[in-house]
Amino acid sequence: MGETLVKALNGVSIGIERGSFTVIMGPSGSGKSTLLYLIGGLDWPTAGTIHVDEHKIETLDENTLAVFRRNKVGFIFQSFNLIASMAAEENVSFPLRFSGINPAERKVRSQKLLDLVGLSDRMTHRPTELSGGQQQRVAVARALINDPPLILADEPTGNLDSFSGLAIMQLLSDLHKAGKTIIVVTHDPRMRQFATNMVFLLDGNIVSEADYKDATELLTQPFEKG
Amino acid sequence: METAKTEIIEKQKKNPFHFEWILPVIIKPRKTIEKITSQEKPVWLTPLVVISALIILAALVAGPIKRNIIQMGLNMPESFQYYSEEQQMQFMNAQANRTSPLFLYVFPILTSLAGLWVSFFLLSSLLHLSLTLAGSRSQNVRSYNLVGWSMLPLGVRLLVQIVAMLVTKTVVSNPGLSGFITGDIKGFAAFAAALLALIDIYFIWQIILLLVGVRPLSGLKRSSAWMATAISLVILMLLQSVPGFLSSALSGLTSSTPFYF
Repeated sequence: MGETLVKALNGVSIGIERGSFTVIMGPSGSGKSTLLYLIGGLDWPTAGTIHVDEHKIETLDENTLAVFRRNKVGFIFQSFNLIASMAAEENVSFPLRFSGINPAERKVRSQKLLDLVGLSDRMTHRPTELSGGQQQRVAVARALINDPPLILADEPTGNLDSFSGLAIMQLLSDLHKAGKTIIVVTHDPRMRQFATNMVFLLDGNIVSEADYKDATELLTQPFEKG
Repeated sequence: METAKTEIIEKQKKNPFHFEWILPVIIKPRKTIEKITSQEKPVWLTPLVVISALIILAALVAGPIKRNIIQMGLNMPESFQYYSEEQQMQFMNAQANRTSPLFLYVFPILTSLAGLWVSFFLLSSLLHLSLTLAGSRSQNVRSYNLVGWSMLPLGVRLLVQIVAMLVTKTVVSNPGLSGFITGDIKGFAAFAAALLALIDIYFIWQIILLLVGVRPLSGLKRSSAWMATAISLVILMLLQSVPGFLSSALSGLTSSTPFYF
């Protein structure tokens, strides 16, 4: 009763190559985060199919989907999504709890990754004791803990100052060079310099760059009376 | 002299407890169960009191472990890393409420005790009814006695669980054969998982004790007596699966038995 059906994505067909660095751009409400969550198995499509390697995401049950996410995908969120009660090291090793890896091994792996993202001196710090950029680097380390081939980042620089944002972009670029497939949803135009593939979304549809530019220019034009 | 003798007999008559039968039921089940089923007076209280005490003890042992698990965040789901800050806070607040004595001790003890006593009365009544329908004319108190003492293996199960909890510092999460059903537990699968959770070696032990005692109790042919027992057990198990099914259907989590069955 009174419910309105909103199509976040409408007839989107897209292929993303393994080893690419794909940047998805679009204004708020264009469906870019939905697309990312569908690829990562955090959301289910109401129609259509999603293939990631040999997996058909929409056919997986909850348990298989959890294993898929654990082994194949690393997520990075705009608001970091770190667990406030846990130190950086515990946050990074959290996904390993479900892989049957013993605590000593978990510690070694998380320390190695925190070292990789330049936070070896912040291992015992809780999220509230870290800056935004540091929190996002912890989140990147967490996304890498199971060594997934696919990294999905939803506005990873959205809550960061320009310098910290650039550092995260560089980190993602390094991961891409190391062979990971990166898909980033962003508003940040600086991300383009790292991309091997650009996707533009408008109102749930993939559009050309020219159409996207026209539409975003219209959106940013000042409102004139009369 | 005569008065003293009468007093001792009276005392024996009035004493509803028979702790001296506990070990023999485990060591020499046939002989002891036959002795129990021959009793014309109620002697079923002892095993139920023992199991009730073990239920309370198990809850007292499990309580601090559960609290520790909640406080250490060891029960966080794998998808917790994808929760937003707000969702994480909501989850943590809900968990904090579960560390109250009401959730850690009172509810588990009450539900388990209710489960024990209800299942005892249900099975005793079902067994008496099915035996009577099969032609037995034994008193219902004898069915109560048999069912009560046949539940003793469930006390052994609790004892094992208590020791396991003390040693491993974890609680039993997937009882019985419920682990055979994995994946999305919905609909019939949830019901089957709840049903399988009831089946373990102690339950089979209980069935064996019932089968041993039901023939001398009823005076029926073995096939009729065993059939009546099987029917009673099937009905009871179906009824017992309902709470587990409802729990799993409502929570959307993996199957766990909220009641002691």
